[in-house]
Amino acid sequence: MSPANSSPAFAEELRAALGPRLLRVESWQGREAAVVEPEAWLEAVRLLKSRGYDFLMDLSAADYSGFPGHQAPPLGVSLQLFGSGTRRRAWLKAYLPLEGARLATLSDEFACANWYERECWDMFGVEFVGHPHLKRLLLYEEFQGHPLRKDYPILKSQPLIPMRNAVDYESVAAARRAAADEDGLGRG
Amino acid sequence: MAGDPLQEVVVTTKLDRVLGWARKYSLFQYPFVTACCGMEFMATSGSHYDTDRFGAAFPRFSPRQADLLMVVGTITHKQAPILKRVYDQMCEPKWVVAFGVCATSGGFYQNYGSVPGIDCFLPVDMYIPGCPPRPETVIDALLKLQDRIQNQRQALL
Amino acid sequence: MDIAQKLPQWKAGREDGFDIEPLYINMGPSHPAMHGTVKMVLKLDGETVVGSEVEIGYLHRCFEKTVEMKTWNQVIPYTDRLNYVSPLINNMGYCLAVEKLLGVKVPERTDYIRVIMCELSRIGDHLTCIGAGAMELGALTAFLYFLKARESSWQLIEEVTGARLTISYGRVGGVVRDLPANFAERWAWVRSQVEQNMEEVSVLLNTNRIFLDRMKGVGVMPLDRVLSYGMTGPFARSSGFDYDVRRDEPYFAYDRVRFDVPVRTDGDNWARYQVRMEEIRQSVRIIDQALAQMPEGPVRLEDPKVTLPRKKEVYSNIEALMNHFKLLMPGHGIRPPQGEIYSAVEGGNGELGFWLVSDGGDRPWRVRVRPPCFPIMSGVEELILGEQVADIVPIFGSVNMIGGELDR
Repeated sequence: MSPANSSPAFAEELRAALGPRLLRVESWQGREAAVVEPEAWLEAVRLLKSRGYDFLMDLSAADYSGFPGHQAPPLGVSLQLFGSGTRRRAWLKAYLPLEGARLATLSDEFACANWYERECWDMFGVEFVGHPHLKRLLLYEEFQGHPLRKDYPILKSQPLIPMRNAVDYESVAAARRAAADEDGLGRG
Repeated sequence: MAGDPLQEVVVTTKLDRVLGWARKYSLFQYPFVTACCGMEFMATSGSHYDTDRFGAAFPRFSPRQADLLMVVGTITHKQAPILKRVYDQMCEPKWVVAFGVCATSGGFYQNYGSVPGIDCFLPVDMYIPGCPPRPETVIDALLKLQDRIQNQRQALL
Repeated sequence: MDIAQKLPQWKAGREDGFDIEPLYINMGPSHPAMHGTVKMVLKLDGETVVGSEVEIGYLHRCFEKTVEMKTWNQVIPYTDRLNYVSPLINNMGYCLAVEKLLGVKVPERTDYIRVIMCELSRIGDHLTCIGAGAMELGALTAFLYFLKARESSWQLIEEVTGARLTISYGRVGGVVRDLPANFAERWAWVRSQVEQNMEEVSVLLNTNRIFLDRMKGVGVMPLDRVLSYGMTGPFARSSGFDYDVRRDEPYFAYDRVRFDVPVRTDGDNWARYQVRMEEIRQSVRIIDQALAQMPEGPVRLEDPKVTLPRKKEVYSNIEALMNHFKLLMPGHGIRPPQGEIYSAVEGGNGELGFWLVSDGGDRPWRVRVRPPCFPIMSGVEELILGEQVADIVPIFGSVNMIGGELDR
């Protein structure tokens, strides 16, 4: 396994600058993820950017509702930073509640944050405060809900034009739940 | 009427048959290429398999000039109105081919975003199975479609 | 960025007071030069693009939602269809991420097989990108030559994997089967096809006045904007960002083969064309070395918690049979420990990252793909600003947008 150029040093730098607003450091397979308070999101990113993590590699989220043993608020936003000169990676996370999930935008810091945040809004309903153009990216404006949240049923389609023999997702979902109970599939 | 000199220079046939013959060898296709199947579509119309041999390869990127709509790849709900509009703009007579399993039935994309088969909103003449279909399957489907065009009743207006 | 920054000499309206309004046109969603479907709303002053908005998402097939319902191995066919021009890289990249999550390491031979298959896929990716880009500029011959070369590599891929395009060849813990016995000699044939066609296309394009005029100095992306947009891969390397995951964070067997990472600094279409052509040559070089170095041995991990037992044993002893069922029954199967991983490989367009979250169950909690062409597409609005309408076609061609991975 290749050692990802992870540097725990970034977490130490964050701890020095943010103090208790760095909530904890998660460690997964040798890589560390610093969990910060949502209010300190922009500050933490600016600090890391000034320390050489000047490249936004990925910004996304995950819905941890129902995740075994998960204590923090359910919506975890994850940010992968990269040093274009140092070739080091930093991993930053913030946990938000499902209702009224808000986070400061990074679009002034990184040009590509614009689209990543639009996707995150589209899929998870995270509102990025100060974003210049926060609208849906992958789906369409008529779409209701945020599909990658765990409570969005996968079959619930929202057609724009009339569909013949359209599948009623409620009945299919009920049938699947029944089948799942029978064979112990669990998650249906 | 053996020995009739006309028999040697004139072929008699039905209007339907001659129109079908002309139509099946002058298919102008509109490739509505969205996804993975496009790669096989390119390979099929490329030099190795070459659908030009069957008089059914010339792509027209204007729906008004096309009579064969090739729906190549997954159609999502965001895309469906566009495809419907392209179809409505094509002039009669027109044929629709669902290329690949996604266009046919949605394939293994059964979810909130994908349309479970373009026949939910379009009439389809030929379904090509496969994810993606092999070029041989595509050529087979084109020949079958040509047979069908040959034998159908030709509307004149 | 607006037009005043990018093109300072541009002025709104005319000096004689004759007011003209900008013209808005829709390029796409169904447009021959839009690979897949993308909509660009262009604001034009004459022929000059003075503003635009790119709309994507027409191929949003809900990959990330769908795979949450699948077991870890069932995700593999879906990854084929992310970047469908180089499906093997997606396959292997996903398997690598799951293996990291499980904390297992595959046998050495598998590493080499994965390198060979990834590079074979990369050759096909770049051939398609350059060929299609040239075709859109009217050079249909180059497209046909490259399609012929790609066809040969696809035939080889089919001999190995059993499918031309959607291969599903990778497995967590290895690959499905070993390379066929005559692989080396078949590869020699593919290599001759690729090299021959590349030479012919180089002769056709490299000194072609029309091609040069439309590529050189068009669609320039400076290095600082590349970094701000988070672009990677051949696109970023042609602007001077010397970063390649294969070299900088080696995975599989990339640390044991020698290759150069081509870098240009012009950042225009021509540099991107050159970088891709050079990368094909480097991929050929990598495959040659990997084939020479490849040791004998098993092609998958012998770990009853990860890989299926051999069929012969399943049919003859009860432990193997039980193991087989344990891996395939719902609720059982591969169960990585609770945890998260971000793992990256070099895809056809740049860093292809997988962020996996496991709750300790047999299905992924979350699979996030960092699609390499997503940040590049987000920069297209800026890339075409101040250019002519007709130049959008070669610029967009050199971006190499792949709908499956962009919209997922």
